[in-house]
Amino acid sequence: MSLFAKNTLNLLYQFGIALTGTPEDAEDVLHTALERYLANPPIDIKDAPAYVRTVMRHCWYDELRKLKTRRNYLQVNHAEQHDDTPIHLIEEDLESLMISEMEIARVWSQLEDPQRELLYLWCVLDYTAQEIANELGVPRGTILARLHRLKKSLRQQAEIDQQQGAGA
Amino acid sequence: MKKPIKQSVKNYLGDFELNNEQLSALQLLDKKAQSQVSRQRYWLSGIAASLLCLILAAGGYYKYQQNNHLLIESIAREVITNHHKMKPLEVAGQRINEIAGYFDKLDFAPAHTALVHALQKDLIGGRYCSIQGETALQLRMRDGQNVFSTLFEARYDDSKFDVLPVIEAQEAPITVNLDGYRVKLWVEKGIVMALVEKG
Repeated sequence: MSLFAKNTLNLLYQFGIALTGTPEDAEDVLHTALERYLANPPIDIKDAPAYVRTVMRHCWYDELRKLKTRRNYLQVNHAEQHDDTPIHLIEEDLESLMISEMEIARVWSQLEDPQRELLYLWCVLDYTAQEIANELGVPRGTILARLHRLKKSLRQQAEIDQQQGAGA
Repeated sequence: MKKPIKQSVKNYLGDFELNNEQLSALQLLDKKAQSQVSRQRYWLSGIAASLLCLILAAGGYYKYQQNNHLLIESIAREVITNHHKMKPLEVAGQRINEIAGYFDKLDFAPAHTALVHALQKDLIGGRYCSIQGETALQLRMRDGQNVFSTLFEARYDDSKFDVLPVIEAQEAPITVNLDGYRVKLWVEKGIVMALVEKG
């Protein structure tokens, strides 16, 4: 399918939302990435959308770096290095989590950038941990650990929401 | 309603879609890039075609020059050989007008040329010959030191002699030095002329 087909562009836009957290930033990042892609199209590319996602990722983190607001990203990386909580590195672990769209909508803005990106690749594109690891250039174990923490984070958020709902 | 997380995330993000205006703006990027590539291809193919024409023209010109060079050398060698043989004169005379009547087999009249002064004072006679298959005449001259020179005149055939300079077009004669002789070649008054002198 063409990179500029409606469906592909929408998927990239949704990735942008997962990456940046807002539709406005998503559109900007997608626009910039497509311009860069067209200015210097790679030869013999197998997966153009994956390539554009990488360019979007670089654009976004470049932008964050410029604004010196990489705090979120750095915190997640820091957590990966120092969180000693024992984890079960099983991919299916997170799949068992049941959550409503409304809950997703509520916790979405509270998730870190890399967590949203991970959710997009895993849920929307249905990538395996290994495929995500390949795209992000990190070990599979790191992806499994992130998925595990994501599940923990989503559960906590859901519990907080439930308590707030009950309190109200 | 609770659903597996994959489904919920898919549904949540699936609600975000580019509107028509946003889609058009992004697709326009592609169209612009394509037209730029087309323009680049157009210019590149134009440049490539021009270069090819230039190479062919240069090759053709080189070939043409090579052929011209061979033809000129061939004429020069032929008149040198004729001069060197010193075959007996068929008609003697010191003025062209005196001997012109003898050359009635030619379809042109033997002519004077301002480029060969010796013709006025050193002419001793002439005979028939040929240059490149064209019937020609040779006018032999001998100076005070007993040195011979020969002026050849032949009918101008542009399929054979168009490489030669035309005096009336302000072109200078071609000079070829071969085997100790100096040969000058040109076209004058519609006649091919070749002068062979000791080099």
